[in-house]
Amino acid sequence: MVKDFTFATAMYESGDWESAPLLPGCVIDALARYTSLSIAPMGVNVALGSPEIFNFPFVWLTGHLPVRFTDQERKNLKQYVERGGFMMIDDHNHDQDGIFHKTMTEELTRTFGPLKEVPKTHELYHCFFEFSDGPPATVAELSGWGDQLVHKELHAVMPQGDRIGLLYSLKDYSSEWNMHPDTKQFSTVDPTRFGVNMIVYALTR
Amino acid sequence: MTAFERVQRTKRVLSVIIGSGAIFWAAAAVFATLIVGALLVAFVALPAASGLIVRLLAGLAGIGTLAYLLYRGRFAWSFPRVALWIEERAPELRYALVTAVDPRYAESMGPLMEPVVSKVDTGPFVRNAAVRAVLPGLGALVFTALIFGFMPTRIKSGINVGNLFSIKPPAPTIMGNRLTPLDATMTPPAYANLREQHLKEPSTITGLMGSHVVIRGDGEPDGITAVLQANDTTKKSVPVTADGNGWKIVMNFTDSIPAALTLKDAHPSRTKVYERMIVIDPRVDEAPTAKLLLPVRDTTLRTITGTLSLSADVNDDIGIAKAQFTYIVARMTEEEKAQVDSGVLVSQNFGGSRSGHLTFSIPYSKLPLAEGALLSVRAVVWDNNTLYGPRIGYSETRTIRIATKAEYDSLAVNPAPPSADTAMQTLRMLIIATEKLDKQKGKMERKKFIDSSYKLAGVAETIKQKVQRILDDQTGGGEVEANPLLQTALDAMFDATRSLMIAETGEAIPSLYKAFYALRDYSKAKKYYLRGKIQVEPVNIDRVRLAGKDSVKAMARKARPLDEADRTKLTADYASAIRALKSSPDSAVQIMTLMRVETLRKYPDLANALGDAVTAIQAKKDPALPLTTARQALNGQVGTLHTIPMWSGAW
Amino acid sequence: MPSRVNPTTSRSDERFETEETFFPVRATIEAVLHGVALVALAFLVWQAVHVLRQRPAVYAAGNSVRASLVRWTTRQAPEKAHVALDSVPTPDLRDWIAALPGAGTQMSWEGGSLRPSAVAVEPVPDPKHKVRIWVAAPAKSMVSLSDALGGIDSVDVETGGAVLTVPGVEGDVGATVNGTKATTVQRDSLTIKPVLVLGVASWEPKFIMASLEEYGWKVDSRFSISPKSGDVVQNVVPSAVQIDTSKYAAVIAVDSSAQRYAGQIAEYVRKGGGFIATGDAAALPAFAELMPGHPGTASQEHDFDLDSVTPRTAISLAAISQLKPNAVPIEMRAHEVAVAARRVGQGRVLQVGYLDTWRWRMGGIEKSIDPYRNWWATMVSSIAYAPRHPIANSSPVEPTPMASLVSILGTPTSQKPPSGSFLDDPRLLPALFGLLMFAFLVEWGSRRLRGQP
Repeated sequence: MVKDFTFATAMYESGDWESAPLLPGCVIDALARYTSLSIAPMGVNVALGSPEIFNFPFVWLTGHLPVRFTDQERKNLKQYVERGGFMMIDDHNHDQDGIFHKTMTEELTRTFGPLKEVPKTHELYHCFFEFSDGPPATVAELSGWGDQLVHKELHAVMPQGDRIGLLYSLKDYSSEWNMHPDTKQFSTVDPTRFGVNMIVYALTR
Repeated sequence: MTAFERVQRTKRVLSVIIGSGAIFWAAAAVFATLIVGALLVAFVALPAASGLIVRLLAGLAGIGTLAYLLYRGRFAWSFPRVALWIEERAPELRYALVTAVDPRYAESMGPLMEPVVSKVDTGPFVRNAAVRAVLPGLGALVFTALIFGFMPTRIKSGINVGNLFSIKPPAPTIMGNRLTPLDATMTPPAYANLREQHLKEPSTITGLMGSHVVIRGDGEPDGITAVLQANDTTKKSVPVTADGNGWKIVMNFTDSIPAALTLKDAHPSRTKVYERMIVIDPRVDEAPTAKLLLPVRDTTLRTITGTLSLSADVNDDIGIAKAQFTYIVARMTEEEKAQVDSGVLVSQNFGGSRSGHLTFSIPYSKLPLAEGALLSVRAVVWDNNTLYGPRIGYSETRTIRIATKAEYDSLAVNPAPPSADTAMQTLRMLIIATEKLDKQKGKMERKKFIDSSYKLAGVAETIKQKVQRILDDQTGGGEVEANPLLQTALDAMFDATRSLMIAETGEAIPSLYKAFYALRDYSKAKKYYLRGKIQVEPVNIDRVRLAGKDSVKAMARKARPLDEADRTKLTADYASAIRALKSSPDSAVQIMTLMRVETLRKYPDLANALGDAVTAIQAKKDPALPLTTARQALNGQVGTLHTIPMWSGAW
Repeated sequence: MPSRVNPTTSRSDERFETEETFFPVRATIEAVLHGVALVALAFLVWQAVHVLRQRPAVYAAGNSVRASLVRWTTRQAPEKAHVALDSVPTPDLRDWIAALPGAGTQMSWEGGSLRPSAVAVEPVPDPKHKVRIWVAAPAKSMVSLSDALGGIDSVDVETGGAVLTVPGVEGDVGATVNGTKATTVQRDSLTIKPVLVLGVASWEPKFIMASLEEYGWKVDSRFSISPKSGDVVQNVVPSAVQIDTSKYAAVIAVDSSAQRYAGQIAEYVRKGGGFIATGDAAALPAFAELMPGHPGTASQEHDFDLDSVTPRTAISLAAISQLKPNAVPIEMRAHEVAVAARRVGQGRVLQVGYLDTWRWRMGGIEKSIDPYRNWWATMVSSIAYAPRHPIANSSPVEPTPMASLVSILGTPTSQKPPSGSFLDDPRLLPALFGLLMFAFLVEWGSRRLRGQP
């Protein structure tokens, strides 16, 4: 029996990690709609500072509030990315002047060095659905929330060549996908398709 | 010539002789002091002002010697004593000369003494005195002056008399190898407050970024070139300039990338070209560290009262400039926006010391806290690096949460440690209190005993409710099966609460322990828990499976890069070096030195082994052992079996 | 002048008489020495004649063998010679000893302390560690390996020998055991093809693929995602999988999605291909006839123990049982078979009982993921198919020095031949001469000092 893919949300000490509780279900729904992968029907929450984080090679992390990793969280994060895990970190404020972005980028730079821009030609945007213009914009961006900018790029930690180990977004997918899955039927284009790309990338690259 | 004139003349000559001798000896003393001082400064680590001290001492030695010798020869300036001096050397005079020149008797006895005095020739005495007084001093002067003159300029420059009495040796018709011997002086950057280093024949120069390095050799600089190579493509020429009798190269460590400095000596007087490589290893100074001692752990406050006590140890390898405690207070507004206040609680200068301690206390009421806020505090430390820093170190962050009224009873308030641990701590206290009360049974007044037991029952009830909530969280409100340990703990707490309510403390204790051990085992088990207020439903996978309509266009996968791809090139370089070793050891040394530069950071074991091999080759010793060590480091982890296996050789 | 004692005798006579009387012992000693010199001279003459008439039996041991061979060959030509070897001689020395019987000397030898050893080198289908060196050596000995680039490594032998797998060797490979050096060269190279990894997109096939590629293997990964996307492939447009030995060195099947290739895989293995089955793939009925054994029920996985030096103890294991007769247990965990192998036709099959080995890569306590990568890479190279190509190499080598020695010189004898009489001792001649000269000089000197002629 192939082990289910389980959507994991990282719990960290210093902030509101649980700010997008409906997001896991929404992405799981998208994964089920477009793939035949074996998927756990519910997400789990797992502490970034605990060894259990390594049982989930795909983890989502978000929040609004300042981020200050504990030493154990930082150590786990480094090992997680270097060994082949895929962590997606999304700024739920969608604000490059916001405290989550500032503190998170400081923490990531301390741990990994400067983040790199992910080019539009990267496999991430072409490994399942085609996103030839790079990361899709979110309602929060287009509505002028947060910093009122549409961020055209995502940034990443790439421990080997251009393989993404940690993806960082200012685009607020946490708000975009924090909804009941059935709500998607009201959208012209399924906004969670990019989440499928992330997971397929993590599972196959 | 009268007796008087004779003595007068002898006095004059003696004065000159003694004076000259004293001057020669004084000058020799000056040179001798300078020689000894220059050698001491060059080979013994002395303070920077030593050069001045040596020069002063040399002056004093000269003056002192001159004064002493002139004092010893002072008789030459006394007329009677000169006459006595002559008498000592011509006893046949029998004091005739002294009498002849004594003013008391000169008139009366002088003419009588003249015939006796005139028979004596003072010439030989004076010549003798001249030889004994002047020649040794002159010889000492010539000797010390020659030694001083031929001393290498770089030794004399240590006492700042580099060009004084330098005697340039005659230019050789064919120049020898000017790349050996070499001296290097490495001056660390001022902020580091470290001593200057002097290196003889360096094969590697290691220093902090910002260090100033001067490499010196003998001979004129014409025909000597220096090239700094950081990797295969980046090459930079370094000027070689004259330095007294020798040549020098001046460099500054402006970055932290290792490089190879290749020196070439191609003097026009010969066809042979000498080469030498030195590894330049600039290092970045370490970032300072801060260890937060207080608060010990994250906490949750019910009310904004009390004092926040902070304490941290700070350390740095070079020196600490300052350290601070900083804070951030954040809370979510009703509009789902993050409201943030931040600032510095205290800042302290450490004046460059390498370690220190920072403490601070502040009442919570003075901070901009409110219900639901998160207060994060940490220590931040800056080092003294004024050149390309400062580098900053951070401690771990402590988070203090201010509970809202609604959240206080919920275990979701404490994210860590997990909920069962909190219940366990209260339960431990309850067990201690119950055991204590049970010991008082029969001794305490009955009403008081029942009241006390009833109070403990209230605490037990609270713990029971906490366990019930943990159970509800764990099962998702009954969706999944309960953890048997939690169920056991809950059942045991039911029993314990009931027993305490009826003041049966003896019956309550076993139940309390049962609950405690069950919760302890549960705490060790894996758990994924949900916060109390989140209600999520599982996705009905089967209902939506492959129901998506969007088209898919998957791109082919790109291959992952090979880990440690540089080992292939390093292996090929190593093979080239070994092949060159027998016929051209210098080429082998060059290849290995370049490999060292490439591997200093990423493969330090390999770099060290190559360094040992280069040292052995240059000293004409057997490099087999360090080369084997280098090969092992290059091969990395290899499969080794200490027996003959059954399958394939791999297992 | 008449002496006072005896007025008729001359003074010289008196002096002689006096000296004789005075030195009777000295005169006796001189006479003895004179006799000794005569005897030594006679013996020398007789020895010379004896040598011309008789050939000696001689003996040499250890470091003196080479010098003795020179003497026996150029001067002595002994009738019998025995050598005691304390190390296997170099081929030239060995051949020299072997040539002496042709010159009329009966040779025998012994080598009580010599131990047999052998070395062999083979190419390995492994992109990183391409050469395997096999050394046969006595237990508890230390083997030093070297090649044209110098020392490679040292290995201590537990039983039977040692095996070392290294990135590469150059020129002659030497294995020195107890002072004896065996040499060989690499005579083959390999063409290494890619590895095919089949599975549904999930963590196990992903991390196997990742680890093999990072190690240096080319990997063609076919991960099923959805019927609409097809499989995710590498570098080429998705195409049908053709599994044969011209395309792949090994095939790894992780789950039941490999069922559709069962026929191709079976044929591939019989023709020499290597196949690794793990997870659900090992339990597929379609692969049952290839598998070394039967997978059991999966055990519980647990956390990686901080003190453990065997990280695979934390991984879930479906132990392999009911091993087929030619199956070989490769790795055990406690008393259960965790990895087993067997040959099928010309190919090899490995069955891995561990499940979700990726947990070791992600959560293991070692500082690096090299152990995980190396473990999977070793499994692949142990079954990989790679056609061999000979390398032209005419270096003279001696891979089995002791065996060659016995083969050329014959069986060693533990007894020494009767050693020759002292007359055969080459030191006798100079000793006699020395004795002769000593006696002669001392006698003559003493006599002359006495004033005698």
